[in-house]
Amino acid sequence: MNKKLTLKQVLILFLIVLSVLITMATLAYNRLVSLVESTAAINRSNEFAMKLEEVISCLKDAESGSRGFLLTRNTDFLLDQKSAGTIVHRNLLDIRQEARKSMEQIPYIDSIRRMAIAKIDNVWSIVHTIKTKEVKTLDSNQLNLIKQGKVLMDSLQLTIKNLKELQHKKLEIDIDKQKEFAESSPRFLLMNIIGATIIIVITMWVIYRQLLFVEKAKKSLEDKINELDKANRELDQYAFTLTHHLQEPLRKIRLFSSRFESKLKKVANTEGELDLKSIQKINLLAADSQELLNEFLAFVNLSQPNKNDIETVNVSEIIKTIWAEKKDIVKTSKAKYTIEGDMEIEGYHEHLVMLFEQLIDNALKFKHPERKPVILFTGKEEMIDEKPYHVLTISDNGIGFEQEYAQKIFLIFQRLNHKSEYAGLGIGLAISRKIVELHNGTISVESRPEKGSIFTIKIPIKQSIG
Amino acid sequence: MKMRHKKKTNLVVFADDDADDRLLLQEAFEENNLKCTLDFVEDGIELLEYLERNAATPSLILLDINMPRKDGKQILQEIKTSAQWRHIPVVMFTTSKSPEDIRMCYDLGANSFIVKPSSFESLLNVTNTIGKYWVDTVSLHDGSNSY
Repeated sequence: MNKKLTLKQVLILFLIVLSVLITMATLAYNRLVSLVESTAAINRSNEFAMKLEEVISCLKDAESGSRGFLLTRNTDFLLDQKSAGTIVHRNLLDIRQEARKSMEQIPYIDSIRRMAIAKIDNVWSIVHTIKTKEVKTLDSNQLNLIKQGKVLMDSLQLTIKNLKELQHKKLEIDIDKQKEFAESSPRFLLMNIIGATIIIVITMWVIYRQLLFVEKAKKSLEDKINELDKANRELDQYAFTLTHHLQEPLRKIRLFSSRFESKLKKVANTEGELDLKSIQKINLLAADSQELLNEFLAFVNLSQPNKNDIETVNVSEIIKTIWAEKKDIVKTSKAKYTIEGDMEIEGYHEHLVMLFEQLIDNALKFKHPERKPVILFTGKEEMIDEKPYHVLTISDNGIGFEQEYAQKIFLIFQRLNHKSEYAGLGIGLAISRKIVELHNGTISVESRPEKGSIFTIKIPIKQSIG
Repeated sequence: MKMRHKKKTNLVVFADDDADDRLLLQEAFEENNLKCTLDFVEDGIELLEYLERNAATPSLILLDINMPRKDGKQILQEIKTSAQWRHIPVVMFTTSKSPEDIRMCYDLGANSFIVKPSSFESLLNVTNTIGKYWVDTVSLHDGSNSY
């Protein structure tokens, strides 16, 4: 099987499993309901038969009671006509209620009811005529009534027989159904359980494989990150050691060349003039290399600081302090600055000092020759990709540059101007970018030649979490 | 390697494993015509042996930090905790500029911390200042009857 499932595939698998389980549960439920229903139907059918029997026996009792009275004139044989009527009436109502679902039984029940009422009336009429006339022999009217009673009773019994047969057929169907359900249900349930178990096992296996895969991927990712961290630390270490070791011979070159220079100065002649220039050049080159190494060392030394050093830093204060330290260049260039907005941010104080030092240096160094430098600092909170950021900008009115170099200027040792015009090694903005990145942020620049540049720094408001 | 000058007025000991630095410092001392004797040792252990062997107490010890066997900070601590030698002024003379090194050396009792200059001219200035101040100007304890 394919090792890696997409989220969509997992969702589809889950939906399939869910629908299969729901179908199985529904089938099992319906089966149980049918079983319960057919059992109840059988019970009701038995009750139906009993009630019908009761009606017949009640009518028969009335009939035989009236016969006893005819023979003996003893009223003890007579049933309470009213209560007989009630029993017949109530039972037939029950039966009708029960038979409601099968319409074919209703006409039978209704005719039984009519005939039963007629029969009771008939028995009552016979008894009534005999009671009132007080004669031993029966007249033609009475005989007629008895005959009618016989006919009624016969057709009643026939109808009841038909109804019973109908009910019997229904009962047989119910019993068959119950038997079938009762026989197949255990098998069906077992199949259901086995099916569900198989599905659950397969699903669990798929989930297990997925988790295993995720776990492995996570582990290998962690290993890679550790390796990368280690490699980075080693690289930093190499850079540090190399720069450190290169500084010593450079210092010596400068010492010896300057010693030689001072000796040459003492024996000044035309020939010595050339030697003096060469040795001064060597000294200068060594000094440049030394400066480069120092700045590079400062860049390399910017490693990830301790999270515990994060504090709320007032950038306005930092700017004021740096400005005060640069009073000489500020005085000669007549530079001015303005601060607008919220300048309190979370971060590493020492690093932020270094960052603003670099940015202010940059703005003062690349000032426009025809105007006084004006630097504007702004700060505000902003939501970027639904996360709160602090956005700081540093705008200057300096010489600016073509926007196409906006990426390049943040790379180490990248310069846009000639060394003879502007001093520097192209490390300052690389340091700035590294510091912003240590704050999990980004730095970008918008610039127009002759107009000036706007540096934008975006760092997450909550440093401790990031 | 030890260089003993015949004229002994004031004694300065310079502990450094770097032969070039020793040579340049000697030259700078000579060029400045400093009225002192400059002795050299190459590491901390040699410095201890030197102090134990010599009856004369140096007026000044110039001490490099990075040295083999026993480095400048270790030997500084030993000198400044020793009853016999702790009155000797010790000036750190090193390439290190790290604030951590500076703080640590002063904590251990260094009397000055000087970063080795990068040009011969400034080396001349520095040695001249050292000589003028530590050899000519300040009064020193001679180590006798102290304890």
